[in-house]
Amino acid sequence: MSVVRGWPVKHFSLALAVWLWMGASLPAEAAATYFTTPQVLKEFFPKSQRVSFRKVKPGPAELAALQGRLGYKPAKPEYVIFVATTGEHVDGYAIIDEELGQHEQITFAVKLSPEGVVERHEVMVYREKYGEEITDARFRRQFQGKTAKDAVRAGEDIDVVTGATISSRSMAVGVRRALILLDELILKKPGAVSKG
Amino acid sequence: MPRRLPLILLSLLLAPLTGLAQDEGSTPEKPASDAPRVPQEEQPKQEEGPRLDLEGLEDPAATGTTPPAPNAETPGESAQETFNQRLQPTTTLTQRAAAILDRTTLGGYAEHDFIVPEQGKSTFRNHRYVLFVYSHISERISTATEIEFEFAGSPLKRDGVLGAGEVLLEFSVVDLMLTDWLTFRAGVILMPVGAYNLRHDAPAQELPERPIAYTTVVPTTWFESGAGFLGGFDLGRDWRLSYEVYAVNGLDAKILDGQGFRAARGSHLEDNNDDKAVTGRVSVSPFLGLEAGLSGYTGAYDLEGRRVNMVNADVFWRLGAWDLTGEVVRAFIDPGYVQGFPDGSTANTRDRVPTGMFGFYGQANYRFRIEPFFRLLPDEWHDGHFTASLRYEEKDTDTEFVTAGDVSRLTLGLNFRPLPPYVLKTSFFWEKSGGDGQMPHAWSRDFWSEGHWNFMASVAYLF
Repeated sequence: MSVVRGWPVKHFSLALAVWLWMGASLPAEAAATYFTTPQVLKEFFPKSQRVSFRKVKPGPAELAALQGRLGYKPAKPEYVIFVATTGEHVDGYAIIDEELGQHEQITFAVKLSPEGVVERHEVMVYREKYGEEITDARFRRQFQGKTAKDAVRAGEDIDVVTGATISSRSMAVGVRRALILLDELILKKPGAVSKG
Repeated sequence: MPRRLPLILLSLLLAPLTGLAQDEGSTPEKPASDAPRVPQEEQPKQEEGPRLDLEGLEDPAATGTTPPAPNAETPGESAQETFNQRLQPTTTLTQRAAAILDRTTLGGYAEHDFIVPEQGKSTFRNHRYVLFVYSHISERISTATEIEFEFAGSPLKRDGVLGAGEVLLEFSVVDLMLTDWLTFRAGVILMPVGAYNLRHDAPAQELPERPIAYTTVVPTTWFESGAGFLGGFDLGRDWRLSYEVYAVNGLDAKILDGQGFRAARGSHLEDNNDDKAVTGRVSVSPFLGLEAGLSGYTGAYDLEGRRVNMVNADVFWRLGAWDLTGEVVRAFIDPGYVQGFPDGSTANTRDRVPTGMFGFYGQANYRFRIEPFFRLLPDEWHDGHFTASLRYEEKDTDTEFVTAGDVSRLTLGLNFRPLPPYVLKTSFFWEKSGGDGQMPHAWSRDFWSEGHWNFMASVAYLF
């Protein structure tokens, strides 16, 4: 039987056209940019009164401590740490950063509790052609509850997405850096920060 | 069929527009933390939530520190405008090149081997160098191409004579994203028969040699010219289902014992008959680290409509430091001959084609670290690891007879991966073929007494 010729194929073609029509009539969605900075902050802290930010520039001692804990020197000379507050109470922190995927930078955001526990991880911009499965909830959910004491290492306590090993590792590296930055620069040494 | 063709084409053209039109009027719901990600135009309105004191902040995400105005351009529209500008005759070549580079990713991977066989000479082998070009034509349309130079391309020197090497497009597609679970793909397509053909890139593999059944029965890299659909969606909280289905030119009649379908693949120029083969794969993943797939292929291989039917099952399971993976493939081939090419073609013969093929592999990879060793290495390699691998595999490229095309192989491997994109691999395999008329299995006594070994080292990297 030929796949192209014959009545079953005609019906198949029509069914395919109808299926395509119905499928494409659902709301179409473009990929790549999932959140802008204001959107992700409002998403992270919907009940807070205010979200401000601090610019933190690690000194030589902090850099040495960060390098010791991370195993590498942080790329940026200055980091922005968002602080959500209600009155005088700190509701939590957020760090937006980038990490190199297979070829392109992945922009991500990490929401942390006042005690420095990861409460949520979001991919804000995904620029790679492949590996977008790391934006799935089941991958991002693994970071919830991680602290600076955890390894947060792909293949160890973070399961990687099959076919997106490098992007998975990049997110693990990024979240671990966010944990260490907050712990070292805000939670351990609050006096070392300057208000932006 | 001809009268309905315009209807089908019209559907193809209008369907994405219909989706876009509905999208403009949709009212997005606020996403929960576990909700599937949606693009920024679907996000909640900026007036809700906390007051944002972001004055003086250079946007760390480069996605905008202010909410988009109601009628502001979306990134897609902006990209579309840029693309239209490229088509203007007044645009200079330099401007066009700059606009292309802005949206294009260049990359690739390569693999270089050193082989020491039990019999024969040792050799270095410049196996492959593959260039990737990925480009977003617009937010919804993208293209991906891999240009492979195998054995350094052309010319290739063998027996003192410079002959033709290989420069091939083994993957070159343009994708039209209709919805987030439905993408239309056309071009030179990686055949979705099994998982290995889809994820064959050398840096992603732990052993330097590909599984023998997956270079013959499934002739990795197996590519065909065609078109179809792919996508995936979540099923509940953890499960995910992915699919690919294509119509392709398909295999021709150059089906041989020993090399399987290797010479029958590849249909860049034309089909050898009017039949279009259909291939597809469906995979389910109940949680991260476990995936099982079922795939198949059906298509006529000659002008008389004799068919190749193929079914494949694959599984991947990550258990802590262990990766367990395996595949099995069975091909059913209508009895026929290596013919079916245009009249006068020297490819037409009276040689019979095999009527069935079979193959499988099972592989275990174990990742480990030797901490004192890694402390001696530069900082950027501190998260590296070693991987030990064990694979057993068999292939039978003619199930009717026991021939040299029947092979079983046991491979041990050890590799060092200082960073995910770079790996130094070594492997040692023991192999026996059925050339002596005995079906080779690892559990047969003559597997060890009659077999031979091969050592291989390889460096593979992704850039």
